[in-house]
Amino acid sequence: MKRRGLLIVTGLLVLAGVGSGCGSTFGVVEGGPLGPSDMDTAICIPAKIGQPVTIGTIALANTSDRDVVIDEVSFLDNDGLVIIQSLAIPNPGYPDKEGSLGSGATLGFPPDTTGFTEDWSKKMPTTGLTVPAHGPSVTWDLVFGLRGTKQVSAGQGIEIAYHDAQTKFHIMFKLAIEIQNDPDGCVKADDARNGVTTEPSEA
Amino acid sequence: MRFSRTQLGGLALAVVVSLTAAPETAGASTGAAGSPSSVPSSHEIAAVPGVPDSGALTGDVVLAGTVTADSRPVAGALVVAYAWPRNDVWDATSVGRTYTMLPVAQARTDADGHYDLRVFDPRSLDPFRNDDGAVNVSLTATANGKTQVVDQVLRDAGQQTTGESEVMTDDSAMTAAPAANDGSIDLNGPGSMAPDTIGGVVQPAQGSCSSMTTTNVANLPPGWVIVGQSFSGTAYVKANFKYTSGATSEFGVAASTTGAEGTWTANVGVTTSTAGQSETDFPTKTGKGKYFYETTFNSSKFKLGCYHYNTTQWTYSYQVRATDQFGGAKAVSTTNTSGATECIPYNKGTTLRVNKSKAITWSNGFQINSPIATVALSSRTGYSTSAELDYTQIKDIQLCGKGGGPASTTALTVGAKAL
Repeated sequence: MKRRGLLIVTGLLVLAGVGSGCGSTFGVVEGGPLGPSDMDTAICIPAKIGQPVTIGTIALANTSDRDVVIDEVSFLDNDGLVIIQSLAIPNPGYPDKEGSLGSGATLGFPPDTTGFTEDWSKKMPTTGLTVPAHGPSVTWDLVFGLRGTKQVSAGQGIEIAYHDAQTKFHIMFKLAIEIQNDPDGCVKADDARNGVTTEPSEA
Repeated sequence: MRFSRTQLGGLALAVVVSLTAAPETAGASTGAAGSPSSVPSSHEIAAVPGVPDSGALTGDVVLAGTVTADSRPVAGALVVAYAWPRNDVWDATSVGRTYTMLPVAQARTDADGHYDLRVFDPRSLDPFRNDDGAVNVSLTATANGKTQVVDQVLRDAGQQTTGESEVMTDDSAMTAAPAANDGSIDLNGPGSMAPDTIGGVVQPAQGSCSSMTTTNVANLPPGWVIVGQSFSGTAYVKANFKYTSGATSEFGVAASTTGAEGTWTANVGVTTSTAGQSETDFPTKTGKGKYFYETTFNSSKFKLGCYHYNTTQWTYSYQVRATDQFGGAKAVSTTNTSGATECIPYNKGTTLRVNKSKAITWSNGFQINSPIATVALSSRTGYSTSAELDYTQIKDIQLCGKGGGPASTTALTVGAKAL
């Protein structure tokens, strides 16, 4: 059983424990039925300031026996990202379907959904969304419409506050998102990180 | 990284240690053939002095498992965990150097053969933790005049495999078992301690190891190890893999009772080894191609000694295990396929950088070829946050994941293809 953005803890290591990874701070339990998240990923997309982009790389499933309701979705350390819309798109049958699953990292919002296995006709706002119990038979793709307001607009993670009938939860998906106002900005930044330099040509 | 007491609450593994039972003892079982009735230990085995019995402790379980003989659980076996020195200790260790491995926990198996290991004070593990917090241990299980040893890795809960890790077999199509963290070994399997021989007479060793030593018998030449992979079915993508300082790979351990070439059995337990102090940046691969990224690790042959307090005898077994990264970087073409079929579009100019993923095991990713030992061990990457894969999209393409999207759980099986 495998899902994007979702690590289902199974088997022999159960005693390692959700308990150890789920602390409670001021009555809010870390992780919870939508977790844990094992993600540590960064996506960069070039787009002009104000130009909408679509980012959809996280799948949500509720593995508990109780429905949960999403209260808020926000970006950690948001520096210049504007959320146009935060949507949950049902993706029935995932991950057994092959082909283009969802939104990825593309220019424009809403995206051209041709070929997507996501059912965009049933899109829902994430705030107030009920994620039904006994996932991941029902998986929701988390899709953001975003635009940047700066030369480099970035967020360092996706935070979700949610609750069930008894408990409040918080989970953070370590997905850094960057919008570069330069067609080659992402590649340049990546090359710089990878130590790739362009030598000046000699006349 | 260091564990806090709280973190150690999640430091646990499930282990099955199979133990070869003496025939008379196995015959003493009262259960029907194939029944789960336990094999009783033939006598009470003396505990290791100075280490509290886990049954008397109330702290968190750091290791749990079952001792079996002929597929039946063994009751009353004594299980002891001995901590290996940190990996970097071996960097400066010359051949012939011996370390005494300290016992950090012990427990007895119940009627079902099950045991839970607890440590009196989690801080007692601090001196043995590697840079990523992992602790290498040798587990001994003693019963019926026999001591079996299997190596394991204690990890923080967040670093542990979930049983879902990918297992890859490289092109040579060898069939060495993957080094999953289950610690199971075969009945009459390798790794058992050979009894001492005095004047040509085999001494009947009994009882637990009151002391455990490891001696570096020989250093082996560096061997190439698969630590990463990338797959592209399109010309319009660049892949860059980094194996950064502090990144950890997990390797199978080869075991032999005699240590003679030709007697090694691969992947009897697991151990970790950490990358060197400098980053290993592999060649960026552009366009179509399927590659393994390989660097070299050192390995050594070790002699394990078990001192039996009851009989004042030593028994021995041998291991070949990775010690530290030697260096080098190359990308090697492979015919493997990623199996990644869950794809999403990424526009031209985007980059995807994935640091952490599910663990990937290459079942024979570490080839050791020397007159001392020729054996293919498993290698595993993916626990560390320092093994990193970047994809840069030159045109609009799709990136694909296996068992999940490319941005999340299976980064090292990410594949690229044209839209």
